[in-house]
Amino acid sequence: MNDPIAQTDSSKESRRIINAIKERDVHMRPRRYFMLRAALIAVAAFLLFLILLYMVSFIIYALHEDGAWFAADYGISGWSLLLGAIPWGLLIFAFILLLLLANLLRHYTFVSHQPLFYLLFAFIVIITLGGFFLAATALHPDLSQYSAANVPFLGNFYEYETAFPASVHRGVITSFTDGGFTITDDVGITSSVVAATGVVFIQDFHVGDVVLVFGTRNASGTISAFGIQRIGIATSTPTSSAPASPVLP
Amino acid sequence: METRDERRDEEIAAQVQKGDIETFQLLVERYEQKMGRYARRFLFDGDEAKDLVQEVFIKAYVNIQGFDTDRRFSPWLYRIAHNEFVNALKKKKKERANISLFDLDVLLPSLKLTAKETADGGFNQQELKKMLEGSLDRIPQKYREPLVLYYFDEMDYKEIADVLRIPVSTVGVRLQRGKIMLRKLVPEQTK
Repeated sequence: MNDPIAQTDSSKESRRIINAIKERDVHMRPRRYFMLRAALIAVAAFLLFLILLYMVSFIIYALHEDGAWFAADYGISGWSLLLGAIPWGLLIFAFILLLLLANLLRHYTFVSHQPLFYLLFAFIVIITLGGFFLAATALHPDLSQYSAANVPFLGNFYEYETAFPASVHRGVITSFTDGGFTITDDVGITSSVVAATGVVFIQDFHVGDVVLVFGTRNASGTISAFGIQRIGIATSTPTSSAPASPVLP
Repeated sequence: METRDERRDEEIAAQVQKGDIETFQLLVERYEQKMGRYARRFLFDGDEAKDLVQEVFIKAYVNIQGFDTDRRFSPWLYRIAHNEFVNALKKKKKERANISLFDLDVLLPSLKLTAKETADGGFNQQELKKMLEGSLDRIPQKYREPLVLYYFDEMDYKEIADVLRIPVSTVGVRLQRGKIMLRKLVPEQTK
């Protein structure tokens, strides 16, 4: 830098740049522009976070509502039922939003200095935990109820996503038969339930138990169950025609 | 007799933020040559490099109110230059733009490669600079840029991470890989 010729060249060049700024009538962006931009990024990131929280909690809520969540306790058939019931489109969309959120937050150096994997992992943990918490609150039942009456699109969405998959049947045990029992669902349809081949039920069921039955229904209407989950007791218990009948291995 | 302004870049930038365009010339003088070299190492030359450097300073001037004077000015200016040069490269379609968010070494950098001393093993600074100068066009941009910023602009890992918006550990990984590439390109100098 001590070379006087180089210094002169540098001065000329810097003068040329300053002149270009003046000639083009370039103006500084005001400080409030940057403050507004920073605020917008923060608000957008926060909104994205809330949307993600809502979506993940909705997925958890829907899987609980449609019964598929409980199927995971019943081996490979249960897992395949659960995997089939996951709203993958929604989950993939949530992941895209997560990448968007990570990209947005990379404007902050404390975020961009960390490996992306750690950032995504931390977000997935936080959002999943938050999702479980939110799914346990009255948010979704209330929203479902409210939207059914007031927001048709959202109402249909809730109804569609929480509908039982074909191999999940909810009902109240009304009586026991030789090989199983009968259930009556919410609309009064009665179905026979028997254990699928190679499956043994070890839980103690009673008339009046509200159960989720996992299995396929054959042509005669009998459900061949690979799993049964008690989820409650009916408030108005139907008349019992048989005693509790535990089926043990 | 000419006197040299002893103020720090950040102090001068604070003065410019008050609207003093003439003071901005001090910053231009301090960085014009560095930016020129940075542009040439991005494989721009002649008038194209001059025009790009001019654009960098114009953008720096336009956005100077967004500069936080509590932080270092140099990485902030290099960040603007990096964006300007990458965009120019995209236009030229000379190289594919570096979409760093989805690079594997941004996603999860290998921790084994992050130590500074492993990045320097076997070479001295001068040798490396010489080797690098002669082989820049044969090193992919992803590895070239950290090498240039580290060896020619003497930035530390954190500053390079600021300029490139990548994790600090990724800087180490890229420097290490860049040097391995360099060693392969100039095998006779490593003996």
